[in-house]
Amino acid sequence: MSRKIELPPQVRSELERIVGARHISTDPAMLSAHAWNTGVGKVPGAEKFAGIWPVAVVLPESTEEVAAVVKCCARHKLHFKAHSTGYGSMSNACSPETVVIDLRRMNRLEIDAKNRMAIIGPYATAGALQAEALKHGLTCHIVGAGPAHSPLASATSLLGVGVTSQGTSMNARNLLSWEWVTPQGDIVRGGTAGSGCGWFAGEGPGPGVRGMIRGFCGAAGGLGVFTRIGYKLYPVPVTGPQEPTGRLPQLGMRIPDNAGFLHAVWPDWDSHRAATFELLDENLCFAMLRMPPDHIGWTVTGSNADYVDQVKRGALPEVAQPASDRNWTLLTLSRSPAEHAWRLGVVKEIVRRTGGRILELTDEHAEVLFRNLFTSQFVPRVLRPSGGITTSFGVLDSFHFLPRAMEAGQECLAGENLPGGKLVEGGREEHWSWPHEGRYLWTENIINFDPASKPARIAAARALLDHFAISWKNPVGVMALGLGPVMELQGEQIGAPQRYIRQVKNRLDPGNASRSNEYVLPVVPKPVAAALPMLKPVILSRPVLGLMSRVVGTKGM
Amino acid sequence: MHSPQTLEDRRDFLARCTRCSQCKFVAAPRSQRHASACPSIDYGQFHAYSGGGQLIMAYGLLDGAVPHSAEMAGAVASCTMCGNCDVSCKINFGETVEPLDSLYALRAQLVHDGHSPAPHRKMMERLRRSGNSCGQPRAERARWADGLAFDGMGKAEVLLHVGSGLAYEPAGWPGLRGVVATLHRSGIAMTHLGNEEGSSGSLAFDLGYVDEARMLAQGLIEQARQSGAGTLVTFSAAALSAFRSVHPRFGLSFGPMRVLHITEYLWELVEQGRLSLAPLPDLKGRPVAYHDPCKLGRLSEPRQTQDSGLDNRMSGILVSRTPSALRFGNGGCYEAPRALLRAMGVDLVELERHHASSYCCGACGGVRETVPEAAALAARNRLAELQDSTASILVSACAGCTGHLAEHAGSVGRAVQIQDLLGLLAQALRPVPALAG
Ligand code: SF4
Ligand code: SF4
Repeated sequence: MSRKIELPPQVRSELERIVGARHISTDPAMLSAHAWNTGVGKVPGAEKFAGIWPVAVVLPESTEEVAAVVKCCARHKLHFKAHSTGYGSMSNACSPETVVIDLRRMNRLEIDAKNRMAIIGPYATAGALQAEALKHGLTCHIVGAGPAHSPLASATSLLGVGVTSQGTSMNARNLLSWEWVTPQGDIVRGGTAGSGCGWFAGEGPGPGVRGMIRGFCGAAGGLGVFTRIGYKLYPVPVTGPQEPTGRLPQLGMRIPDNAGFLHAVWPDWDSHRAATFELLDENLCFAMLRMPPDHIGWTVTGSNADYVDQVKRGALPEVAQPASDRNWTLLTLSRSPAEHAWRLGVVKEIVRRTGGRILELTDEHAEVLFRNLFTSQFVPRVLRPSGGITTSFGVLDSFHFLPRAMEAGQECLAGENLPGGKLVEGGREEHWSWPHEGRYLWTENIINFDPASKPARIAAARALLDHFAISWKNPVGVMALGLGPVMELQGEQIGAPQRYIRQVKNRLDPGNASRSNEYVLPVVPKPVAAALPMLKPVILSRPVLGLMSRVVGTKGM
Repeated sequence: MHSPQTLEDRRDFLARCTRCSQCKFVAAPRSQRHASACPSIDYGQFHAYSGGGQLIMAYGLLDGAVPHSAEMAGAVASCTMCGNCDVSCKINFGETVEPLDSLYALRAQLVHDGHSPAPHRKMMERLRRSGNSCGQPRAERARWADGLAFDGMGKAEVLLHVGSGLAYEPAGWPGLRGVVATLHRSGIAMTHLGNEEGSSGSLAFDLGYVDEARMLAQGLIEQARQSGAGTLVTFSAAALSAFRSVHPRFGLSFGPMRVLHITEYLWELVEQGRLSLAPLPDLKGRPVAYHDPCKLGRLSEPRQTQDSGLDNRMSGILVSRTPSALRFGNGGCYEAPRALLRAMGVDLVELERHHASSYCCGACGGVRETVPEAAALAARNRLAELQDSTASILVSACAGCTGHLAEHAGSVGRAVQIQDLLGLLAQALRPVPALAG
C-alpha cells in the first residue's frame, strides 16, 4: 500500500455533513474495492492491489452533494476520482490524497420515449436501461463491459464502443445534454439542459462544449464528475423485457419476429471486405459483428471445461472452428414480413455473390449468440477462459484497412497464442470487428493471457506494445488504449489532440484535483516533449520493447 | 476427511474477481427497480457489501492489506448468503470465480480469527445450548406434534424433519399438523425425532462455524439412520439446502436414505395418485406469486463431494477438475411447489426475479438477527416486486421467508397477503380414498 494518508477529523466531519455519516468510509475494508488492480483491458502486475489507495470513499446522493464533496476536496487540497459501477481498474485512485466519489446512489433513469432518449445518472446500468427502454420498443448502445456498466460513464469518460455500433452508434456520439460538476465544484449543465430546454441535444442553446470536455477518448475521470446525461436510444421492433430462453449459464433470447440472425463466412479477407462494403451500402443490418471463432466457442459453451472438452473432441460447431475466421454475425431487424424478406434476401444474395456461405446454427446456439450480441454480454464472457485480457487497435477508419488490421493482429501475437506459446491458445489473430453507423471500421485484437503467470503477462505486454510499434510504423487506425501518457506518443500522428486537451485540463483544473492516469498529462516538460519524437525509434527498438514488456509484466500498467 | 475450502484454498478464485459488478444484478433484469441481485449492497451501498466486494476484502485479509475491522464485519454480516451473486457471476465467469464458496470461506476465516460478529456468536451459543439459534427450550421442540399419533421408531417408512424455524413457530403449526394428519390418513407410516431433533448445520455453516456445522450434520445423520426410515422428508428449506449442498462439502450423506423436501414428497404422492389437491376457493381467479426461497431454490442444488480445483489448459484456460459437479443454479427445488400450487387451481404468476435469480427476502444468513435493518430492506424490496406484479398474494415454501415477509407486509403501500404454502396445502390436500385404507 502507498503512503497512508489519514483523513483529518475535520475533513471527515465536513464530508459527513455533506453525505451523511453512513456514507463515508476510510476503513481499508471499504477502500479495498477502489484499489483492486484487476487490469481489465490492461496488463496487471503480480500484485492484486494497486500501489495507491484512496484516503476515503464517499457515496453522495445528488449532484449538489457531489459538488459539495468536490469543493471540500478543493478546500483541503485533496484530489477526487469519480466511480460508477467500476469495471476494472480505470477508476482507481491516482494519488493517496484521493477521495473516491462512488456514485452508486445516483441511479436515476427516465425514458423519454417520444424523443428516443433517456435521462440517466451515473449508476443506471446498461442492463437496467435496456430493460426499461425495451418497454417502449427502444434499445441502447451497450459497450464491451456489458450490461453491468454505466452508460453515463462510457458516454462521458471513455471511448464508448460496443458490438452493436452499426445500429446504436458509439457512446461518444450517444451523449446528448449533460450535467457536470467541474473540478472546482461548480454545477454546469451543457447543451439544451443548460438553457432549461430539456436533455435532447448536446450542442446547445446551452454551453455546447461537449466535444471539448469529452473529446474522442473521454474525460477519463480527469475533468470533474458527470452526474446526469441525456442519452440516445434506438428503435427496435422488439417490445417488452425479453424472457430468456435456455438454461443457466447459457441464457438465450428468442429471435424476434421479422429478425434475421445469420452467421456467414468467406474464403479470404478480400471477399469478406467486398461483402462488407455491399452490406453497408445497402444499410441492411442492425448489427454486424466479427468475432474470432475461439471466442464464439467460449460463448456457445457453458464453462471452460465444456469448451476444452469440445475442442479436444472436435465437437465445436462450425461457427467456432478456426477455419470460420473470416466471418460476420449479421442481425437484421425489420418491421414487416415484406421488409424482412427483402433484407434477408439481399443479405443472402450478397453473401453468395461475394463467395461466402451461411453456416448452420442450432436454435440453441443462435439464441445464445443473439442474446449475447443484443445485450453485449459477450465481452465480459471473454474474460472467462483465463481472467486476463488486454486489447489493441481500435481502428476508426475505412474498411479498406480490414485485411491489413488482421495481418497486423497476427504479427503482434507472433504465434504466442499457438500451442506451446505463452498466450491462451486461439486463432491466427483475435480481432473483434464491427462497423459504426455504416461508416467506420472498429477492430480490436484481443490478447488473452493467464494473469497469474509472469511469462504470460510479459508476452501479453509485448503483444500489446507491438501493436503500438506496428501501428506507428504503418498506421492501423487509432489505438483503443491511447489513454494517459500514451497520448503523448500516439497523438503527434493524429493532429496532436493531447496538446489541446492539456490546455482544457489546465484551464479547468489548474490544481489537478480531478486526478486521473487515463487522462492527458497536465504537464509535459518542454525538453521531454522535444525529445519524444526523437526517442520514438529508440522506444520502438526490439531491446527496448522487450525491456518495457518485462517491466509491464512485472509491475503492471 | 473432507473439508470445505478455506480462504487460503480460495486465494486464486478471489484473485480472479474482475470487479465487473455483474454480481450486483440479476442476469436478465426486467426493470431497473428490480434489477438488483444482492440485498447486501442494496443496504450497505459500498462495493465491499457486494459479492465481488467481499472477495476483494477477503483477498486483502489474506494479503495483510486489509485488517479486521468493525466495518468489514458489518459488511460480511449484512450478506444473507443467498447465493444470487454466484448465479450472476457464473453467467460470465463459469467455474473461475464462484463467489459463494469464497463467501463461506470468508465467514469461516472471521470465526477462526476471533472476529465473528457478536450476534453470530450469541446465535451459536444458543444453538449449542438448546439446539436452536433462538434459545427456545429443547423440551418444547416437538410441541407442534402434541396430540398427533406417530408410529414408533423403527417401523416408519418416513422420517419427518421439521427444523427449528417451524418447530418453534406456533403460527405455522396448523399447516404442519394439517399436512401430517393428511399423510397419516393416507396410510403413510411416519416418525419424527421429537425433542431431540438435531440441527442440519445449515446456520452454523452460514455463520462460518465450520467444525460445528460438521458435528451437527453428523449428529443429525446418525439420528436419521437410527430411525430406520427409508425416506427423510424435511419441512425446512434451510435443512434441505444443508443436506444437498453443505453436507457433501464434509463428505457426509444420509447414505441410502432418500432425502426430500416436503413439497417434493407431496408432489410425488400426488403424481402417484396417493394424494389429491382440492381447488382453494379463496384463491380462485386471484393471481398468486411464488417466492423462491434461496435455501429451497438455488442453494438446494445438489453438490458433490468434489475436487473444486482448476487445471490450466491450452496455455491459460482454467478448467474445472470436476466439470460434472459445476452448479449454475438450475438444480434447485423450483418445480414441486409450483406444481402443487397449480394443482390447487392457483393462477400462478412469476415475479420479475424468480427461480435461480430470485431475490432474497433478507431472513437468512443471520442477517435478520444481526443487521435487522438490512433484513427489513430486503423484505420491502421483495414486497415492492410483488406490488409491481399482477398478484397481491405471495406464497413461500419456507417458514422463515413467510414469517419475515409477513412481518414487513404492513410497511409497504398496497395491501399484500403473505401465505405459507404449508397452510394452503393443509387445506387442499386430500387422501385418495381407495388407497387411504
Ligand atoms: S464476483 Fe464475479 S460478477 Fe462479481 S465482481 Fe467479481 S467477477 Fe464480477
Ligand atoms: S450472497 Fe446474496 S447478499 Fe451475499 S453478496 Fe451474494 S447476492 Fe449479496
